[in-house]
Amino acid sequence: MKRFIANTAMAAALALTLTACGSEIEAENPGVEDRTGDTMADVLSDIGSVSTVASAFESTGLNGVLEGEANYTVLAPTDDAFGSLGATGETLLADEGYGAIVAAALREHMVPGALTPDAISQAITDNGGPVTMTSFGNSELTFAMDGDIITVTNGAGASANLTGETVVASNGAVLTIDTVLLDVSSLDLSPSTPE
Amino acid sequence: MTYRIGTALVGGVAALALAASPAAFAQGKGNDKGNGNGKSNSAAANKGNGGNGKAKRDQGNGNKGASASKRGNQGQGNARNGRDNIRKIVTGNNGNGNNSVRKIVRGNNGNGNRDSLIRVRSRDGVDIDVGFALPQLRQAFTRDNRIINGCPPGLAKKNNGCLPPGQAKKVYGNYSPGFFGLSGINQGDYFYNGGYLLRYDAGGLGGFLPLLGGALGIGNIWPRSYSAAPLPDYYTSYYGLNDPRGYRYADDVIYRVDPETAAITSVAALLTGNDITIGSPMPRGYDVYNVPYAYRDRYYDSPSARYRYSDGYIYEVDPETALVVSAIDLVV
Repeated sequence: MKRFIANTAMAAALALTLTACGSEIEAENPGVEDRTGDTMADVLSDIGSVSTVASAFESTGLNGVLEGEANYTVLAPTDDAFGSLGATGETLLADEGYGAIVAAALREHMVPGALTPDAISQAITDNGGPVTMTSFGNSELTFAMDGDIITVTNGAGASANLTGETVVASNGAVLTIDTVLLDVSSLDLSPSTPE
Repeated sequence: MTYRIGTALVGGVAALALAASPAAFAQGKGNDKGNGNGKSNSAAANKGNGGNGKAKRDQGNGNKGASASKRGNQGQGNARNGRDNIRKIVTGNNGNGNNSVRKIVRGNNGNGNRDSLIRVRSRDGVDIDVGFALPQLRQAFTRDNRIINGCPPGLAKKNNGCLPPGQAKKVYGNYSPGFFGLSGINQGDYFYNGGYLLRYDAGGLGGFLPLLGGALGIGNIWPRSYSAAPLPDYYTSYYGLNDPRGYRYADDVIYRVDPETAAITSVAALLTGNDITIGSPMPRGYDVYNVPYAYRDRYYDSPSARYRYSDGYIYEVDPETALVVSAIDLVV
């Protein structure tokens, strides 16, 4: 009986220790949340600050790619970032007729594999300057350092900062950014549906 | 039918950088590349007999410190005479005899289209066929013919769904096909309308393309006139597409569809479509380490190797030459 109690106490202590220390991924990547037990689709829908982009992934059907084996990194603009798109952004997201345009914009925010801010900054350091990653959209994404902040710029010149959460899932990573990589002023949104 | 090299056959494959190998990737090669029946049995493939475009097995060993590159007679072989073009790259010799030798043999399918089959020699000296044919994947969707003639049925039913060119320019949004991830399609003026990209040329409406998230949205029936091609076996395995009737692949997007109704049920995967070829430079856009976490304990950057993930493979890149050294199969 004593041995059972002792073992139980040890197990409880070990569990507390593990909880306190976090996962190995979190230990090696400060600021990164380990959700490798969940898929990207789950993680994206759980991050409260990116509900708009999560909704866009669902409405376009692109959340399906976040449920599979393949790894993707999503640069997820915050809800505030979408808000700054103004009325055009609202129209774009609200009207199903623009679904293909939204899907195209989301692809611009997706990169193959799992990226972390540490890996990006390391690559910038190693390269002695900006680095590029291919996207699933229309252009490559360029990462650079602006002081201590990592910036990302697409081929159209839209730029954002990686200033938010980073969550690693079983099949990729979510990196929150503060601006949508889309110049809505360049979009011609009429009409969304046939007239 | 997919054949794979089992663990028992290849011995210590599990300890290798390269896991299993879907040698049947060559399946269907004979359809458009003039290389006869390309269906490959992994065991038989080791025999490397010609006549089906497979790479010959290279028996070389003990190439201590050697680095050799041999290019076969590209573009001259054909299925009938069974002459394969073979490219051989020997790298990574650390002076440990066979165990340190990695050979990558790239077969030519007989008509100048390279990369039909790649065979990797592991550090244990075991040859493994890697079903791998990126050019075939890229060519699976025929770019030249993919624009569908006429006005989309869904728009044609509505008045002014496809306006004459002059009015179209005033009414529809003008977009580049590249905005939607489409590349290499015919020139013309393109306009967005109702989930389609309409192409206008000098003769008027030149055709249309259905778009991801639009006409190719969830619940919509796959347009019968929008041709899609079967994916190589490796990709169907990696993306879990067991039923050949249950998916469509077009323009670097894989869709799941209901096998009976052809209704799109989900978007299964996006592909970069990058042509990554062993022995060639890694394309731009892979500067950052992006290996999936599940593989990071084995494939991490070091002074002697870099690893990058793309479209279901991890690629080993030589840091000095920036050449792709090997492709690591992630289908177990």
